[in-house]
Order: sequence, then structure tokens, then C-alpha cells
Amino acid sequence: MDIWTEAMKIFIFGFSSVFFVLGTLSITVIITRVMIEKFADNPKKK
Amino acid sequence: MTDTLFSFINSMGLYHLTVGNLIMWVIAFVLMFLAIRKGYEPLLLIPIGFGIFVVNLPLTHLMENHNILHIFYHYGLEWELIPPIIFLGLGAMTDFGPVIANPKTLLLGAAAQFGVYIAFFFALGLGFTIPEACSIGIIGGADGPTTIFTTVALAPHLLGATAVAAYSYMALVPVIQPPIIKALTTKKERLIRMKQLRPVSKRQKIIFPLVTCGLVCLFVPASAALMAMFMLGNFFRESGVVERLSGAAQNELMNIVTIFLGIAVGGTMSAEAFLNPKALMVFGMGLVAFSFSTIGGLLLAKLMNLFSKEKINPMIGAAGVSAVPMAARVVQKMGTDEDPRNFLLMHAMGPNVAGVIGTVVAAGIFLTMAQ
Repeated sequence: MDIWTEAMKIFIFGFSSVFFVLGTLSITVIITRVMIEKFADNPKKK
Repeated sequence: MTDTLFSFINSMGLYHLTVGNLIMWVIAFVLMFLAIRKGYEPLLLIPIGFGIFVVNLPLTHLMENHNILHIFYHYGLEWELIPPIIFLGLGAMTDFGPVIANPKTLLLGAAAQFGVYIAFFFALGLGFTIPEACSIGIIGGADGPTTIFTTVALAPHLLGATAVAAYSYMALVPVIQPPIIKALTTKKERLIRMKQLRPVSKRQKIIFPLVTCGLVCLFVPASAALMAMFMLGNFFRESGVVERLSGAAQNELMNIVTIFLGIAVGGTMSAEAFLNPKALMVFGMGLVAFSFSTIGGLLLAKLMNLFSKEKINPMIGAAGVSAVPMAARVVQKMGTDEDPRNFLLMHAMGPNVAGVIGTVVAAGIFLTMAQ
């Protein structure tokens, strides 16, 4: 296969994968944080 | 008698010294000078410089089978042992609080991998193969262990050049980044003050390494060695119940493997292996990689400001280049230069440590696709 075609595949797949993984991690962190704040980190009782 | 004398002289390294050896000595002394006098990455440049010096002493055969440098190289680097252990120590030193407080900075860490791919294409254009171009491109991630890990797997003959380029440019971040940041941001943007980061609980910090390790390794299994050790080190730190392990990972273990890493990398830089046009091109590509990584982070930060109610100071995008904590400190300094009351360090640490994760993911993709 032409080297440039292969390179484009690596770039498109690779760069978008980096965004996908870190984007998914970002959303997961937000969801996890919300769940922890809601269910685990109990507010102080007055 | 004459034969004996000649034989004796022939056995002396001095008799076999070449111009190439002398040039490599100069390179070694320059690295040591930069480390000692200028303080540029001394923990790596001193053992690397010394390794270059001794491997270019003729007839010592230190990088041949069963000799000490080869043992460090073979069991430390070829077996891919040292970079993950360094990541264990780095994880134990890293505070992911700023990332957890502001998770969108993870995207800035992703954008800062832009330079990796630009350098990848440039390297292909210069005639490197795809595995070689991947090893050169990953320099743009500004992460020494990841660069070494990737290069050993894909293009081990380029290890010396890529490792020295990566660590040298990491030390030069305070020189490379400011002009780029100034060129791509307006004064008004540089003056943006960001809201104080929300507090992050201990529970959140404990769960983060587990979540990150699981998620990244499920998507990119090739990155598992680095990511698992990175998150294990961070788990040691955040659990709060294994201070001795965390301390050992950050100090004794880190220091020991840094010695072995530096001297093994230096040992790959014999005159024959290093003095060729390819190695010089690697250095040039390293600068391209770093510059475009900075540009990528900055541009995404500016783009995010178009859609975000809470403005972010776009300079923190430049901190996505994962030279921790130098890139964050550069942003802090530039922020206080513009406005002495604008403290951006903790905000910049978010993309700074996110960039480490981004680089590992990028390396994992390279290893998956180019091996």
C-alpha cells in the first residue's frame, strides 16, 4: 500500500482515537464525580 | 620484539580513536555542560552524556554482549522494563486534582499531540519509514519514557537520537514555547483570569487512576504497560496507606532506573550509530514536533473559548505539551508577566498532566498500527 495512504490512516485513526479516549475519560470523570458527590461524599449534617 | 610492541600499541584504545569518537565526546561534553551549568534536565543529561563519552572510548566494547552498558540496554530498554518503572514514579509524583476539577482540560492534552502527527508526516517526507516516523513523531509528546518505549519497539536504531532530542527539547520548553504563545494569543486573551478550581475529594482522587487505567487500557491495550504503571504509582500516592511504596517509587526506584536509563541511552550513541544525516534530521523534527504540539493545544483552547461561557486562558493549552511541570510553569510565568495577580499554574497543570495520558494513548496507537 502507498506509504502516504497508510500514513493518513494512522493520522486520522490515531489523532481521532486520542480525542475519543480522552473525551470519553473526561465524560467518565464528570459522571464519576457527580455520583461520588451525590452518594458518597455526604453533606455535613447541621 | 617489534611485533610485541606493535601488538601492544594496537591493543590500546588510543590507537583506534577516530574523528567520529572525538565528535561524540564533544556532544557528550556539551550535554554535560548544559546539565551542570545551565541546569537543563541534569538527571538525564548527565548519565546520557557520560554514557556517550564512555561508549566512544575505542575497544572498551561496553555495548557488546555481556558488558555493562549492553546489560542495562538489553534488560532495561529492549525488555521495555525501565520506561514503565519510570512511569510508576511519575504517577506517584503526579496530582490529578486539576484534571478532575476541570475535566475538559483532558481535551487540551489531546490537542497537544498535534505536533506528534505533524512531525510524523515531515519525517515520512524526509524518507523515513513509517515505524521510524512514528518514533520521531512521538518526540512531540514531550515525554521521555514514552519516546524511549515507542522507539525501542519501532525503530531501536534511532533510540539515541530520539531520546536525546526529547530530553533536550523538554529542557528547552521555556525557550521554545513563549514566542509561539505570544504569536498565537492576544494580550486580552493572556489576561484572562480563570475561576478557582473546584475542590476535589480524596475519594475522587482514589477512583481516578482506576477509571483511567481501565478505560485507556480497554481502548488501547498497547499502552497498558505505561498506563498501568503510571496509574499504579498514582494509586499508591492517593490511597494514603502505602506511603513507603509511594516514597520508594518517587525516590529510590526512580533514581535507580534513571541512572540505568540515562547510561543505556547514552550507550547507544556510538559514532557509527549516531553520526549520520538521519540523526540530525531527528533533532530537526523534534523541534517541529514540540512547536506544533504547543500550537495544537493553544488553538483548541481558543476554539473552546468560542463555545464556552466560562472563558479559559488559552495559554494553558500550551501546557498540554507534557513536559511536566516545565510547560505549566512557563504558562504561569507568562501569566504573571502580563498580570502579576493572575495565577495560572494549577489551571495549567490540568492539561500538563493530561498531555502525559494523551502521549501514552498516541504511542499505543502507533504501536498498534505501525508494528
